[in-house]
Amino acid sequence: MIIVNQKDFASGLLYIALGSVVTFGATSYPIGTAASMGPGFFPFWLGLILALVGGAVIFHSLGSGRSDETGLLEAWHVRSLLIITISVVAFGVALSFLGLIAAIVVLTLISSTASQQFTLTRAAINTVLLLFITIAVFVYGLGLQIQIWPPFMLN
Amino acid sequence: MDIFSNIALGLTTALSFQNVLYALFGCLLGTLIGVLPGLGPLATISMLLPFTFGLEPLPALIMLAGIYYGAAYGGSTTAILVNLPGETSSVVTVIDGYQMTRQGRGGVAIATAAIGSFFAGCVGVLVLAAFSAPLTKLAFSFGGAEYFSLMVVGLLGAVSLATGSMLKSIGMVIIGLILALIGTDLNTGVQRFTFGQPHLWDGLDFIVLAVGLFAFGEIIASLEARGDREAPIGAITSLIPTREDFRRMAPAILRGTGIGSLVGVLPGAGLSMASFLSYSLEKKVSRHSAEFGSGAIEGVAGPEAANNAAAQTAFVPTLALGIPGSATMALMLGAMVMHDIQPGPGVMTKNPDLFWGLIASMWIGNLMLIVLNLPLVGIWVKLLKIPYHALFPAILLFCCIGVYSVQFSTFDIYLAAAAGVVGYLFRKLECEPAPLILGFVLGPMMEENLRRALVLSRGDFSTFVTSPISAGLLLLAAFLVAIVLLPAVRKRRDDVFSE
Repeated sequence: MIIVNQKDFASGLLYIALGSVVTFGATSYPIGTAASMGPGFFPFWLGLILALVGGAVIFHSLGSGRSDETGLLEAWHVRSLLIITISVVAFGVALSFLGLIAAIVVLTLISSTASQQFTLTRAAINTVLLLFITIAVFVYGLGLQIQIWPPFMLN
Repeated sequence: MDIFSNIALGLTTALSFQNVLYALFGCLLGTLIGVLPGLGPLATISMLLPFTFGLEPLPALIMLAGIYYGAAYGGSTTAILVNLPGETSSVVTVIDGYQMTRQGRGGVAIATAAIGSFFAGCVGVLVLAAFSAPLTKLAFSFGGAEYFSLMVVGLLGAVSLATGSMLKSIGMVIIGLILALIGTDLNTGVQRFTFGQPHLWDGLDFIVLAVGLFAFGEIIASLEARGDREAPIGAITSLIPTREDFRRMAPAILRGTGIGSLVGVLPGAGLSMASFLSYSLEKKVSRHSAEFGSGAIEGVAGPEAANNAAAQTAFVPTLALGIPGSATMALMLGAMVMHDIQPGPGVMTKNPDLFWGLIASMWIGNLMLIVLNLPLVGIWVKLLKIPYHALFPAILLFCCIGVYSVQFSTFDIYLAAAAGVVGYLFRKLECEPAPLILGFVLGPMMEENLRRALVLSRGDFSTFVTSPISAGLLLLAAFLVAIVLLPAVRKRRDDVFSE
């Protein structure tokens, strides 16, 4: 008995873990009975069913014979994952403290570095273009109420 | 009121100058974003959804419907010209469409797709108008048990007919149902799974989830895959099909429309099923079956007609019953809820002008696609040449602004970033995120109807099988699962999807 499909095996583990956490968490709310369901009733059973599905996925991923080449766990492309995530979070932080213009600059400059064709000139041109387009379309066109300039510059 | 006076009512609503303008705008925007490389229809729609929130409900829905068709149409254009299917429904179009492009007949392929789509769209709208009314009547007799069972059919149908492992997709549906629990329980006021965060009291926003899972996930995945391919774009010579082309495409379009209209209505069946079925049928019945795979025009006409007919009739369960059959429909349903319209039997009686106006505007949208996009195809081709490194920061930025504009809360932006990481994890494990959105949108309704059914039956679960409608629906659900589990069918299904 070996793990034929690693991806399925890992997904199964994920389902079981998540399901157990949800079912366990649901017990902190009143469960009630079927006739008068408490807030914990639906999550309790959902978690349990998810864990069961996870068990079935794991069972399915096991077998004898050779492992499935396409089922091997893939390496993570941590670089693009990190850059994209950081740029989005930085956009949020900059938006709340410095306004939209700063947020756009931060987002485009950081995210551009994820590309293999990254050059500073390209990123800068892109940033300037996006600044104009975004402000024109969203702030003046659609009239979104977004703080454009840093708050301290207005005082 | 009969169907024609309904359609007339719809046309008068939809043909107002303002609504036509929004339909036009939606189609253009949808095609524009749909054509851009590295952004499928799901990501396109989730990115553009927030920008309709400032509008009145009807113009917003009309614009959304335009975006929906535009995105799908953009998907076929890239499928034909650069061998890049936007979503599973255009996977089949790639086979013969791209071959036609390589033979210098890309323009004809695009025109064929547009003609087929338009014809199928017209028929689909009629089917939608004809089926919605009786279905709505039926739905009024539904109680909690019937609705709950109907949702089970919808969800299981969606996972059994989609690609990938069914078990894993069922797990994803349940994760979606679980994520929908976050927030205040409407019945008791208890805050569930909010981790003491006041931001979560109103629950997760589905835009946040959709943008994170689909758009961010797609960007990260594309950045990873970049570098190895700069797809050559076929030149467009002539758009006009020859008489021989017309003679060959007409029956294929008719058959595709029939298949698509039928398959689209089925809960969960979806567009890709329609185009796959149509392609295999055309391959069987065609006298030119040897040409399939090397540029047979039927291989473009049939599936494109089928998936557009299905795209129309997929609105039947969504509008009449409030049960979306696919992730895209779930997004549309979520958008309606954001405009305080609860899709389901009530819409048609309470807001007939909205209901029929939307249906009529779908037809107008289809018309616009053919009138606008054929002349504009040159521009769309140019868009395909925009390098990805210039594109993805813009997509990322528009997504962030869209997410922010839902509630003007930066917390939503952080949540979307987290959803992006989770979406990447799912991709790596080959867990489809689409069923998750379906579960997420249906979650609250499912819990509510389960509660109602069990209150009425005093906690007796046999209520789900003693009601004939509910029992029939559950049987259908069991049947859907069973056919997928049958080894013979499973093999066929894998063959079809891997073709």
